[in-house]
Amino acid sequence: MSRHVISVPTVKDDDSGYYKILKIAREVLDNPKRHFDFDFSACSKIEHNAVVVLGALARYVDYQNTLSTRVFSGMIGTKAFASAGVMFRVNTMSEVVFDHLLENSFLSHFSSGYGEDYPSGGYIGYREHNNLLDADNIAEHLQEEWLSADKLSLSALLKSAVVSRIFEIFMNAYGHGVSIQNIDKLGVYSCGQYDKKEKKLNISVLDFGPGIVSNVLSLRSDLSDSLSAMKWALVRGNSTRTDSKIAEMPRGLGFDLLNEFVCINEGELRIYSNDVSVISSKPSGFVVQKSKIPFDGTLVSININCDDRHYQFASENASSTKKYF
Amino acid sequence: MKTINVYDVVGKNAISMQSGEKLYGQIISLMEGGESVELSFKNVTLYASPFFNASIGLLLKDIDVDELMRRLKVVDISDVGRDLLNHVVENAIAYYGDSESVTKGINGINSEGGDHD
Repeated sequence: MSRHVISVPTVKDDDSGYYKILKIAREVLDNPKRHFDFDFSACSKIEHNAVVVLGALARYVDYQNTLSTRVFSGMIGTKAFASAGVMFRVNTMSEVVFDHLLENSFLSHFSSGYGEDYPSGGYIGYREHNNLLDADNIAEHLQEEWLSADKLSLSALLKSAVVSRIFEIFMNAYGHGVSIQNIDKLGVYSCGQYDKKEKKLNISVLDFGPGIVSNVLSLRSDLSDSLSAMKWALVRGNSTRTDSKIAEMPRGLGFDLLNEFVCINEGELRIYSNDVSVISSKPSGFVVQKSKIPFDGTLVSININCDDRHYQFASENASSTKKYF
Repeated sequence: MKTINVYDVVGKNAISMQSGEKLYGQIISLMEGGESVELSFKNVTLYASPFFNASIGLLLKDIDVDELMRRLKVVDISDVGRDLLNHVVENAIAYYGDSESVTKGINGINSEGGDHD
């Protein structure tokens, strides 16, 4: 069977980087029942946003094979019967890219030759979370492994706020993505990255659910376009309510809390879902735009300053929320 | 006043809707019996909004906020937890009081006409 080669460029955590990696995602998602080879010859640097997309795409492609094909090929230890698959060409990677993908445990998820399969434990890097939400497990992972004290220096106050806000991203991915996705075996994919020199922490979280815009437009017939749908989703209190059977319950705070946090922290929040992107930061607030490259799912990335000088606690200073308790 | 140790009900993570529902059940049964409730969050280390939505936010469906503040005391909670709780209460007041009000905020979000790269 012929193999479709995709050249992975240098992908940074900036507008251009997101554009490049979403273009690759589009190429795969438009025709996923193929074999893809990812070539890294033109890639000198790859960041969390690209790592999470590449890992998630590999799983998405794998689930294009029928269940029986996957089970059968797994049983006999070969992918020969699989009609779709992904290979990351390690021999085309520069030393810098290879080391990075080794250290963040990306490679170990796709080849037993590069460390423990599906590694657990304390590293900041690529992770796959299964399709069933285990809130305590994710919380444990974030607090005790991912953000453990030996890897990065966070005050107790900031760590508590960071874990709480990152958890909101996961809850959104499960409640509004995984719980209603078409391929029910797909999970939530994440990649963290810590820059010791800059003291900046990044995490990208991806799901292949219907997407925020699609969910909102299914619920709100009065909203006719993607931009209006995304803006509606970003307003405090608005929710598509796909996350629980409790109908009469207030919710819809996740993105509002994230936005407030990045503004106080002087970080950045990015959301790519369906044909809309959102970038939020202190100077600009929410900026909602049409994307040239639609994404079938939701990618949320957050950039956090780990220096406490950037962080004033909302309840003391910046929040406009009344203090009831 | 009866005290509920939240840790005994949900453990150290006050994060999920399911945990919130458990706590809601305990609070509402005491309040329906005319009791005031003290919630102690001692040993709880992590907070997220789904938990507070399903526990305390849901109380505002049947109790107005002034009565809730009179009959519910929150102690041993971290600054992060208290901040989240106040966000949730404010959101719940808007939700139960005027469900239309939240959609009015749409106009406050920036939009740029051009495509994004």
